[in-house]
Amino acid sequence: MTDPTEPTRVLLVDDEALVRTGLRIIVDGEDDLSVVGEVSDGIDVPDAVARHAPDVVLMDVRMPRVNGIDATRALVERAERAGGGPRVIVVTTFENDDYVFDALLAGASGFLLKRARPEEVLDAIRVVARGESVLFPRALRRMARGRQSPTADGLSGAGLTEREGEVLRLMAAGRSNAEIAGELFLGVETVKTHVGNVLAKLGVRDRTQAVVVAFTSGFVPAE
Amino acid sequence: MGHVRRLAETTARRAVFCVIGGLMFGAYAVLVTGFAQMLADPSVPPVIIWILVALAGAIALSPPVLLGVRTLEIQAVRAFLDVDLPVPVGRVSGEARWRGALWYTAHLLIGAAATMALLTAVPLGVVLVLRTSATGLVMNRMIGSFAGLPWPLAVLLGLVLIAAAGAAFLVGGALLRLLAPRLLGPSAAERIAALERQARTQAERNRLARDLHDSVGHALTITTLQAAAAARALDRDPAGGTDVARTALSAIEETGRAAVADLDRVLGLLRTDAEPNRGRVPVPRLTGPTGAADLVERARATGRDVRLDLPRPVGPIPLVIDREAYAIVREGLTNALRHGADPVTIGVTRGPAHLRIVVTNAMSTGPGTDGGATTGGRGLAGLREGLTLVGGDLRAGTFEDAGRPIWRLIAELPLTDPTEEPESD
Repeated sequence: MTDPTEPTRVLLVDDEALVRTGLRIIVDGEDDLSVVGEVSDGIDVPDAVARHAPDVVLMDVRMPRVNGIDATRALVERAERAGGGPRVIVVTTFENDDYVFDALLAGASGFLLKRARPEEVLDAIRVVARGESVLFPRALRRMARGRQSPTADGLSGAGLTEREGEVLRLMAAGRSNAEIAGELFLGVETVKTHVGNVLAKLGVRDRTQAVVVAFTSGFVPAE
Repeated sequence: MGHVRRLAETTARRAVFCVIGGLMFGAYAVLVTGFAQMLADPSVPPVIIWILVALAGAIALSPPVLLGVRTLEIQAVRAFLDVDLPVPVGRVSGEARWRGALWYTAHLLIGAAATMALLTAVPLGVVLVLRTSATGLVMNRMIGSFAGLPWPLAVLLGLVLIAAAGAAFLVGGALLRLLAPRLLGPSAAERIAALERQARTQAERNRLARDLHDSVGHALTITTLQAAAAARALDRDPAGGTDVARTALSAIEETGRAAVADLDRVLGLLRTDAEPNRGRVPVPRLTGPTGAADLVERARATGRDVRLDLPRPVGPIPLVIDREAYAIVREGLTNALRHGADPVTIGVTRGPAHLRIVVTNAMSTGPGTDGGATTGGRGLAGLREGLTLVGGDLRAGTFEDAGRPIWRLIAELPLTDPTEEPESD
C-alpha cells in the first residue's frame, strides 16, 4: 500500500505535547518514516487526515473531546467508504487498558505502549504500514479473553474454506505471509490470495481486524 | 512462677466480672424482697404496691435490652474475660438484642452463684481453720455440724473451701466465656455489614491506587519516552542533538517533579484513611495469618455452609497478588452470603503461572433474589479494577451443576510480579 521509495507518512494524535514531541523525534529520525502532522484531539483527526494524507495514525486513547476509540471508528468508516485511508495504531500508557481492545474492535490495526523502546515503535509503524503481520498476537489474545461475543459461532457462517481457516489460525498466531507460506508449503502469492479472501469473507479491512474477529467469535480459542 | 501469677491475675479479673454480675443480681434481689415484705404487710394497700411493682419492674427490666448495656457488656467481656468480641458498629438487629438480654441474665445468675459461693465458703473456711488454732475464739455455732470434726480434717476442709471460692470464679468465668460468643457475638447481618465495610474501604483504596497508577504511570511514561527520544537524537547527531536533548531533560525534570507532588497527595490521603490503625493492622493477605481461613471462619460463624479448599502451603506468591487474592475471596464470599444460597465453596489452586480462585454458590430460590448475579455492584467492579492493576482476569456468571443453577466467580492472577517487563512478540 505504500510506495517503497516514498517515506511512510505518520500523523500523531495525542493531547500531551510531550508525548507528541517524543514520538516525533523518534519517528522523524528514520529515513523511511516521516511525521506529516500532529493534532491534540480526536476531533481534529478528520481534517488532519484530509490535509496530510497519512499512511499511519498513532492515536492516543484518552483525549478530552473525542477519544481515540471514537476517532478511530470514524476514521475507519470513512476509509471504508473511500476505499482506502490510513491505518490506525492505538498508543496507550497502560497495557491492561480495556480501551485498547475497544479501539481494536473499532478498527485499529494495532496498538503500542508509550513506554515501548524506540525500535519497537518504529517496527510497529512499519509492520502496520506493510500490513503483512499482526502486532503483538499474544497480547491481543489475552485482551480478547472474556470478550467473546455471546453469539460466538466459531465463524461457521463465514464460509471459510479449510485452507483459509488454517491461514486465519496462523495469522492469529502472529505469522507473516512468508511464514505462513513456509508452514503450509504454499507460495507467498497464494497465501496473499487466501488472506485477501479471509478479509473479504469476514468483512474486515486488515489482518488485525481478522484476528480480532477470530478471537471474539471463538474460531480461535482465546482462553 | 509466671503462670501462677497469670492464673491469679486471670482469676481476679474473672472474679471482678462475676462479682459485678452478683452485685447487679443483689440489686434485683433487694427489690424483690422489699416488695415481698410490703405485700406481706397488711397495712399497705396492695394497689399502691402493685403500681410500684409495675414501675420498678419496667425500670429493672430495661437494662437487659438496652443496646448501650450490650456494648458495655461486650467491652467488659473483652477486658475481664479475654474473649475477642467485635465491638458493634452501626445498626444492631433485634435478634442480637434478645441474645444480649439473655447474656445479661446469664451474667447476673452465674455472677450471683459465684458470689454466693464466695460469701459462704470463705467465711466458713476461715472459721474452720481458725477454730483449731484458737479454740473458743470463734463461735462453734457458726460452723454447725462441722464443729465435731477432728482438727486436721477441719483445717483441710477449711482450706478446700477457701480454694473452692476461687475455683467458683474460674468455673463461672469459664462458663461465661463459653456463652459470650454465642450471646454477645455479632449477628449474621452484623458480620456481613462488617465485611461490607471492609470491602468499601478496599474499594476506596483501589480507587486511590488507580489514581496513583494513572498519574505516576503517565508521568513515568512521558519521562521514558522523552529520555528515549533524547538518546535517539544524540545518537543520530551528537552535536545538533544537544538542543533536543536539553529540552527533553527539562521536560523530564518537570514531569518528575509533578509526579512526586501527586504521589505526596495520594499517599497523604491513604495515610489519613489508615490513621486509626496505622502500623498495627497489616494489610490482609490470602495466605496471611488473618487470611482466607479467617474470612471463612467468620462466614461460618453466621451459620452459613462455607467450604474452603486452600492448599497448604500455597507456595510463594508476590505480595501484591496475595493481597489482591484476599480481596477477591472476601468480595466473592460477601457476595455469595448476601445474594446466594448454601453451600458456598472457595477453591484456590495454583498453576504454573497463575493462581486461580473459584467462588461458587447455589442460587437462592426465594423471590427477589438473583443468586449473586448482582454484577453491577461496586464490589465486582472494584475487584476488576484491582485485578487489572496486577494483570489478572475475572469472570462471573451462572453455570449448571448437576442440573441446578450455580453462581460462579473465577479469578485468575498471574504469579509473576505485575511490574515486570511486558511481552513484546
